[in-house]
Amino acid sequence: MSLTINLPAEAEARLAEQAKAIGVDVPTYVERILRAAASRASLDEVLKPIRDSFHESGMTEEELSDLLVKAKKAMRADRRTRRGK
Amino acid sequence: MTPPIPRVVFDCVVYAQAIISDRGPAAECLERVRAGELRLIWSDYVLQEIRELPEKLPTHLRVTLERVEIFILAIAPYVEHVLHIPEIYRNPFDPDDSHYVNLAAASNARLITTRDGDLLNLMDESRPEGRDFRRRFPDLQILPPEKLLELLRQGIPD
Repeated sequence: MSLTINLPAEAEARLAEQAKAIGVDVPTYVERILRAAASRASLDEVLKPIRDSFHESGMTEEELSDLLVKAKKAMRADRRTRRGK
Repeated sequence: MTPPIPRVVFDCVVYAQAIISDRGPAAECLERVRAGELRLIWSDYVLQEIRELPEKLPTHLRVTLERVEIFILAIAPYVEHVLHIPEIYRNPFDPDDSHYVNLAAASNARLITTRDGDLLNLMDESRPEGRDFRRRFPDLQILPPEKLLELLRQGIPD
Protein backbone atom coordinates (compact mmCIF):
# COMPACT_ATOMS: atom_id res chain seq x y z
CA MET A 1 0.00 0.00 0.00
CA SER A 2 1.29 3.47 -0.79
CA LEU A 3 0.09 6.68 0.84
CA THR A 4 0.39 10.37 0.08
CA ILE A 5 0.41 12.51 3.20
CA ASN A 6 0.28 16.30 3.30
CA LEU A 7 2.08 17.73 6.31
CA PRO A 8 2.75 21.27 7.50
CA ALA A 9 6.34 22.38 7.02
CA GLU A 10 6.98 22.34 10.76
CA ALA A 11 5.95 18.68 11.07
CA GLU A 12 8.01 17.81 8.02
CA ALA A 13 11.07 19.48 9.52
CA ARG A 14 10.61 17.62 12.79
CA LEU A 15 10.23 14.30 11.01
CA ALA A 16 13.38 15.03 9.02
CA GLU A 17 15.23 15.75 12.25
CA GLN A 18 13.97 12.55 13.90
CA ALA A 19 14.80 10.45 10.83
CA LYS A 20 18.31 11.89 10.75
CA ALA A 21 18.73 11.01 14.42
CA ILE A 22 18.41 7.31 13.64
CA GLY A 23 20.29 7.49 10.36
CA VAL A 24 17.44 6.89 7.91
CA ASP A 25 15.53 9.00 5.37
CA VAL A 26 12.05 10.42 6.08
CA PRO A 27 10.01 7.85 4.07
CA THR A 28 11.82 4.97 5.85
CA TYR A 29 11.29 6.62 9.23
CA VAL A 30 7.58 7.22 8.60
CA GLU A 31 7.16 3.64 7.33
CA ARG A 32 8.74 2.30 10.54
CA ILE A 33 6.52 4.46 12.75
CA LEU A 34 3.42 3.27 10.89
CA ARG A 35 4.52 -0.37 11.03
CA ALA A 36 5.12 -0.08 14.78
CA ALA A 37 1.74 1.61 15.26
CA ALA A 38 0.01 -1.04 13.15
CA SER A 39 1.55 -3.88 15.13
CA ARG A 40 0.36 -2.22 18.37
CA ALA A 41 3.16 -4.02 20.14
CA SER A 42 5.00 -2.29 22.95
CA LEU A 43 8.78 -2.40 23.00
CA ASP A 44 8.66 -4.98 25.77
CA GLU A 45 6.38 -7.17 23.65
CA VAL A 46 8.72 -6.87 20.65
CA LEU A 47 11.74 -7.80 22.77
CA LYS A 48 9.98 -10.56 24.75
CA PRO A 49 11.12 -13.46 22.48
CA ILE A 50 14.75 -12.32 22.87
CA ARG A 51 14.47 -11.92 26.63
CA ASP A 52 12.69 -15.26 27.05
CA SER A 53 15.45 -16.96 25.04
CA PHE A 54 18.08 -15.36 27.24
CA HIS A 55 16.37 -16.43 30.48
CA GLU A 56 15.87 -19.95 29.13
CA SER A 57 19.56 -20.16 28.21
CA GLY A 58 20.58 -19.96 31.87
CA MET A 59 23.27 -17.46 30.95
CA THR A 60 24.26 -14.93 33.64
CA GLU A 61 24.56 -11.16 33.07
CA GLU A 62 28.36 -11.50 33.30
CA GLU A 63 28.41 -14.28 30.70
CA LEU A 64 26.20 -12.16 28.46
CA SER A 65 28.58 -9.20 28.87
CA ASP A 66 31.55 -11.35 27.84
CA LEU A 67 29.64 -12.71 24.85
CA LEU A 68 28.67 -9.22 23.71
CA VAL A 69 32.18 -7.78 24.03
CA LYS A 70 33.54 -10.73 22.00
CA ALA A 71 30.79 -10.19 19.40
CA LYS A 72 31.72 -6.49 19.18
CA LYS A 73 35.38 -7.35 18.54
CA ALA A 74 34.38 -9.94 15.90
CA MET A 75 32.07 -7.40 14.21
CA ARG A 76 34.93 -4.90 13.99
CA ALA A 77 37.37 -7.51 12.68
CA ASP A 78 34.86 -8.25 9.90
CA ARG A 79 34.53 -4.53 9.18
CA ARG A 80 38.30 -4.14 8.90
CA THR A 81 38.44 -7.14 6.56
CA ARG A 82 35.71 -5.64 4.38
CA ARG A 83 37.56 -2.30 4.28
CA GLY A 84 40.79 -4.08 3.35
CA LYS A 85 39.19 -5.75 0.33
CA MET B 1 18.09 25.62 40.44
CA THR B 2 17.63 22.20 38.85
CA PRO B 3 20.98 20.46 38.29
CA PRO B 4 21.81 19.72 34.62
CA ILE B 5 20.93 16.24 33.39
CA PRO B 6 24.17 14.19 33.14
CA ARG B 7 25.14 13.46 29.55
CA VAL B 8 26.24 9.91 28.84
CA VAL B 9 27.55 7.83 25.94
CA PHE B 10 26.70 4.11 25.93
CA ASP B 11 28.92 1.59 24.21
CA CYS B 12 26.98 -0.57 21.70
CA VAL B 13 27.34 -3.51 24.10
CA VAL B 14 25.23 -1.68 26.70
CA TYR B 15 22.42 -1.23 24.16
CA ALA B 16 22.64 -4.90 23.18
CA GLN B 17 22.58 -6.04 26.80
CA ALA B 18 19.50 -3.89 27.48
CA ILE B 19 17.78 -5.45 24.46
CA ILE B 20 18.57 -9.01 25.55
CA SER B 21 18.10 -8.80 29.31
CA ASP B 22 15.45 -6.68 30.99
CA ARG B 23 16.70 -7.49 34.50
CA GLY B 24 20.31 -6.37 34.34
CA PRO B 25 22.02 -3.05 35.05
CA ALA B 26 22.21 -2.13 31.34
CA ALA B 27 18.40 -2.25 31.07
CA GLU B 28 18.12 -0.19 34.25
CA CYS B 29 20.52 2.41 32.82
CA LEU B 30 18.30 2.70 29.77
CA GLU B 31 15.24 3.07 32.00
CA ARG B 32 17.02 5.96 33.74
CA VAL B 33 17.45 7.55 30.30
CA ARG B 34 13.76 7.12 29.54
CA ALA B 35 12.92 8.57 32.97
CA GLY B 36 14.87 11.70 32.07
CA GLU B 37 17.65 11.17 34.65
CA LEU B 38 20.33 10.85 31.97
CA ARG B 39 20.75 12.45 28.56
CA LEU B 40 21.96 9.80 26.13
CA ILE B 41 24.21 10.73 23.21
CA TRP B 42 24.75 8.68 20.06
CA SER B 43 26.10 9.09 16.53
CA ASP B 44 25.95 7.38 13.15
CA TYR B 45 28.90 5.21 14.21
CA VAL B 46 27.16 4.06 17.40
CA LEU B 47 23.95 3.34 15.47
CA GLN B 48 25.93 1.30 12.95
CA GLU B 49 27.44 -0.77 15.76
CA ILE B 50 24.03 -1.30 17.41
CA ARG B 51 22.68 -2.51 14.05
CA GLU B 52 25.64 -4.73 13.12
CA LEU B 53 26.23 -6.42 16.47
CA PRO B 54 23.29 -8.89 16.17
CA GLU B 55 25.01 -10.52 13.17
CA LYS B 56 27.63 -11.84 15.57
CA LEU B 57 25.25 -13.15 18.23
CA PRO B 58 24.08 -16.75 18.60
CA THR B 59 20.84 -17.25 16.68
CA HIS B 60 19.13 -18.82 19.71
CA LEU B 61 19.01 -15.33 21.28
CA ARG B 62 16.70 -14.29 18.42
CA VAL B 63 18.08 -10.75 18.14
CA THR B 64 16.92 -9.78 14.65
CA LEU B 65 17.65 -6.52 12.85
CA GLU B 66 13.91 -5.83 12.68
CA ARG B 67 13.61 -5.99 16.49
CA VAL B 68 16.71 -3.84 16.88
CA GLU B 69 15.20 -1.21 14.55
CA ILE B 70 12.05 -1.08 16.67
CA PHE B 71 14.24 -0.67 19.76
CA ILE B 72 16.13 2.22 18.07
CA LEU B 73 12.85 3.85 17.07
CA ALA B 74 11.53 3.57 20.65
CA ILE B 75 14.53 5.14 22.35
CA ALA B 76 15.39 7.76 19.69
CA PRO B 77 13.19 10.44 21.37
CA TYR B 78 15.42 10.24 24.44
CA VAL B 79 18.70 10.47 22.56
CA GLU B 80 20.71 13.36 21.19
CA HIS B 81 22.29 12.61 17.82
CA VAL B 82 25.70 14.21 17.32
CA LEU B 83 26.94 14.63 13.77
CA HIS B 84 30.24 16.45 14.00
CA ILE B 85 32.81 14.43 15.95
CA PRO B 86 36.43 15.55 15.61
CA GLU B 87 38.99 12.74 15.94
CA ILE B 88 41.06 14.07 18.79
CA TYR B 89 41.90 10.81 20.57
CA ARG B 90 43.06 7.33 19.60
CA ASN B 91 42.53 4.52 22.11
CA PRO B 92 45.82 2.60 22.32
CA PHE B 93 44.05 -0.58 23.50
CA ASP B 94 41.53 -0.67 20.63
CA PRO B 95 41.50 2.15 18.06
CA ASP B 96 37.93 1.21 17.08
CA ASP B 97 36.81 2.29 20.56
CA SER B 98 38.29 5.78 20.07
CA HIS B 99 35.01 7.01 18.64
CA TYR B 100 33.24 6.65 21.99
CA VAL B 101 35.79 8.95 23.65
CA ASN B 102 35.66 11.40 20.75
CA LEU B 103 31.85 11.39 20.85
CA ALA B 104 31.85 12.13 24.59
CA ALA B 105 34.37 14.95 24.08
CA ALA B 106 32.41 16.44 21.16
CA SER B 107 29.12 16.39 23.08
CA ASN B 108 30.36 17.48 26.53
CA ALA B 109 29.37 14.13 27.99
CA ARG B 110 31.30 13.31 31.13
CA LEU B 111 30.32 9.66 31.27
CA ILE B 112 30.90 6.65 29.04
CA THR B 113 29.24 3.40 30.06
CA THR B 114 30.72 0.19 28.77
CA ARG B 115 31.58 -3.42 29.55
CA ASP B 116 34.64 -3.37 27.35
CA GLY B 117 38.01 -3.66 29.12
CA ASP B 118 39.69 -1.75 26.29
CA LEU B 119 37.69 1.32 27.34
CA LEU B 120 37.51 0.64 31.10
CA ASN B 121 41.31 0.25 31.29
CA LEU B 122 41.69 3.89 30.25
CA MET B 123 40.64 4.76 33.81
CA ASP B 124 43.51 2.70 35.25
CA GLU B 125 46.19 5.19 36.19
CA SER B 126 48.66 2.42 37.06
CA ARG B 127 49.06 2.07 33.27
CA PRO B 128 50.80 4.71 31.15
CA GLU B 129 47.83 4.71 28.74
CA GLY B 130 45.49 5.39 31.67
CA ARG B 131 47.65 8.21 32.99
CA ASP B 132 47.74 9.82 29.54
CA PHE B 133 43.96 9.47 29.19
CA ARG B 134 43.24 10.93 32.63
CA ARG B 135 45.61 13.83 31.95
CA ARG B 136 43.84 14.64 28.68
CA PHE B 137 40.28 13.99 29.86
CA PRO B 138 40.24 14.63 33.63
CA ASP B 139 36.46 15.17 33.73
CA LEU B 140 35.52 12.08 31.72
CA GLN B 141 34.61 8.88 33.56
CA ILE B 142 34.38 5.47 31.92
CA LEU B 143 32.43 3.00 33.98
CA PRO B 144 30.32 -0.17 33.75
CA PRO B 145 26.50 0.07 33.99
CA GLU B 146 26.30 -0.94 37.67
CA LYS B 147 28.76 1.83 38.60
CA LEU B 148 26.73 4.37 36.64
CA LEU B 149 23.65 3.36 38.63
CA GLU B 150 25.64 3.68 41.87
CA LEU B 151 26.75 7.15 40.80
CA LEU B 152 23.14 8.13 40.07
CA ARG B 153 22.08 6.94 43.52
CA GLN B 154 24.86 8.97 45.15
CA GLY B 155 24.20 12.02 42.99
CA ILE B 156 26.54 12.97 40.16
CA PRO B 157 28.56 16.09 41.01
CA ASP B 158 28.27 19.04 38.58
